[in-house]
Amino acid sequence: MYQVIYTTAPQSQVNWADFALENHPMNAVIRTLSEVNVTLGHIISTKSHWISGSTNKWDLEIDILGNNAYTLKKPIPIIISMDGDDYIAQFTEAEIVTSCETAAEALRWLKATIIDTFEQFKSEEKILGPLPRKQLKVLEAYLAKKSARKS
Amino acid sequence: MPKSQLEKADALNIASKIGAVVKEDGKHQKATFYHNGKLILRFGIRHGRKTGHGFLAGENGPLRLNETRAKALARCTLSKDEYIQLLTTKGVIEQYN
Repeated sequence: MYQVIYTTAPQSQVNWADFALENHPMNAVIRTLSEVNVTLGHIISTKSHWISGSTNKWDLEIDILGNNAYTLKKPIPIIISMDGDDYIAQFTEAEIVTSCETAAEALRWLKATIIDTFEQFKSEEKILGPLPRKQLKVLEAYLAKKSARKS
Repeated sequence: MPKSQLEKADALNIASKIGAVVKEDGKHQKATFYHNGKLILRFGIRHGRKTGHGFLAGENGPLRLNETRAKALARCTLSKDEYIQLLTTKGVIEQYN
């Protein structure tokens, strides 16, 4: 299992645990990401950053989808943001997005949706319109189905 | 940023209005929209009666509609034909001459 490696404060890079101890508006989210990491163990890095006028957006990467039938060719970049009290998780490049009441749930649904989208688009590849064709191309760059083991 | 006003009922209304195929997806649902024999797009519908669905809105969101237009599609002022026209303009639906 990987640990959250670091988070970037507005002016300096600090250890995330130290950062979370500070009286900072992002504390709740840092704790949430920590909880996601502990719960799912799939975040390999976070780069929390400040967007003008908004502090509610975080970049991170995952390297496990939690499905033994699939392997990742490279880590998937994820953005977690907020819509009111809801957490939104998105794989921007593949244009896949989910939302839940907790970051962990949003991330869990996102990972399931990545696999389900891949499977659906592969099985209906011949009838894909421009958007799903583009999405499938991105997904194929990140994940692959493992070969069936010979008995 | 203010919380989106899109709710689950809106997502279900949109799916029904455009004739999307809705299936269970774990505890959530997924809606797939086909047009002229092509798979055009898919989007998720959260479980829970009054859950927020702002994640569906945005020009690059799953529906390719901003919040206002997504609400209009859900609440009847934007028709399915107009939506298809919008998607065609955006290149999400291919135009055949």
